[in-house]
Amino acid sequence: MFLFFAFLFVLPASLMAMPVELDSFSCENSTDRFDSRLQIEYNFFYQGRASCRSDRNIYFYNLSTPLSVTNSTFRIVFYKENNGSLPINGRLSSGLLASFTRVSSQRVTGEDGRNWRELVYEYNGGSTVDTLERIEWDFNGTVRFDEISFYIDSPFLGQRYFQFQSGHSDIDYNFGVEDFLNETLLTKTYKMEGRLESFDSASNYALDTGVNSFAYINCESVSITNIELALVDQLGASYEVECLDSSLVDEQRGLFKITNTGTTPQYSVKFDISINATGKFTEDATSTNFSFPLLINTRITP
Amino acid sequence: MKRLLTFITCLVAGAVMAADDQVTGTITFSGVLAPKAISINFALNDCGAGTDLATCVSALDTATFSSHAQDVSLDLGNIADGETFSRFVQFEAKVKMILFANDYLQFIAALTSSTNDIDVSLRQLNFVSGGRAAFGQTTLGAIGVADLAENEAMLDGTDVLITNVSTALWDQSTDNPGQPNDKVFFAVSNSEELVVRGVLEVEFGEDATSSAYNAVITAGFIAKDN
Repeated sequence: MFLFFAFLFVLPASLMAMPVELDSFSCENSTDRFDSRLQIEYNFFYQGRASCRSDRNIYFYNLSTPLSVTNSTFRIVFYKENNGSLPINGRLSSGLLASFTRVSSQRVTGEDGRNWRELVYEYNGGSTVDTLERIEWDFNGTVRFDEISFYIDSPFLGQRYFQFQSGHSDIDYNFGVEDFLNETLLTKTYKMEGRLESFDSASNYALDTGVNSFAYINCESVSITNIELALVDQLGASYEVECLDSSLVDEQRGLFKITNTGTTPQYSVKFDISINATGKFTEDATSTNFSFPLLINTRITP
Repeated sequence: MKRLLTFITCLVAGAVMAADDQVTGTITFSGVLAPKAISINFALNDCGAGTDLATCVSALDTATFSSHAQDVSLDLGNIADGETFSRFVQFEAKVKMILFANDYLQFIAALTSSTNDIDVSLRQLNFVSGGRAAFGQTTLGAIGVADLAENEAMLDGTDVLITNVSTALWDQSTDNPGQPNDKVFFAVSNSEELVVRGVLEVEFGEDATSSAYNAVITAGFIAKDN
């Protein structure tokens, strides 16, 4: 096992990300399409017996769970009768549109004997920190297409990760002397997401900035108040959280640890983690106003 | 569809990934750390008629104080029966407070009201104990350099008159130890509170009449930013 891990460490990051199929639809019957308003049209097909046909609606493919777009490529592969570009857009959690662009178009002959195009559309999130919720198809008329597949090529998928959800990466605490004295419990919800394999643990630490950082937070109790899982991952899902010791070790202090005690999920999982924390100060604390960020460091261990 | 199968094979091969390590967010932590005095309680002992200062001071360490309260009073009896024109009174103060590093402490007092011709002055002030043993410091001042350990004198052989203006009778930044604190002095629970003992002198003046007298002293400890 150890040797295998050592080997993986030397793999370049680009080789570690694998495209994962999110969904595929063959347009053979009414349960085999991504939007129930699409028509099933027999006699036109790239494979099988039928294809999907659109009209002037906008059609939606909803992701079962929103997926991070950061450094991720979303790819749609499908077959379309005749050529021509299509406006396909991704809708991000922030409400912004992400435009899919056509990266390949090849003429192929369908099993129905007609000319079809194998089309590949892609969207790469780059440095955008957001999640993709659905893909919107605006065909603006009759288009026949078949054998559609959605893929994601993400550094996160297939890999362990644990991080704040988009837009929720800053937690503010405010303490006065009375709060330290009375050990006032401040409860904050950390909105996190990640993908932990079975019996993985993600330990979260606050990195000490070192400059006047003579106050810190101490996790007193922690619980998971909400979990959002993809449908396919719901069977056997089980997670546990616990507080970590807040002593200063290697310039960081423990906050909490989450462990996947169930099955390995296929997709990323969202968590609302409620932390009751007290403020503590160190022996060197001087009387002053303080305000400093504690960076969160996440360490995932199998 | 064949291409699709290839993808899935790759996924299985890559399913075991190396442990991950990343910085993913910030916690902003803000507030105020301010020196704070929480409560003060005094107790008084009369050294008795005819007892001199040295005797009263030497008995400070072993004295027993009881009935601590925020307001205490002591009946000294009839001074005219005494051998001298002054009486010495021991006091103990127990203060719950937090001094942060680089802060210092002051003992302040004022003669709030008096009848007859009476002077009250501070003659001795000793640090007894205070602070949390496992956290910060249990002395006052710079640890190991200039600090006040158990039963050391904060003021010794002095005569500081308590006037009707509230003033610092002892100031950590100038009087012994003359240094602010190195670390937090965390004296907030009963067993950790700051304990200070001292001796007051009550003295009648030239204009004293042979009638009842009364003196009220308001005193306190101030934890100060440096």
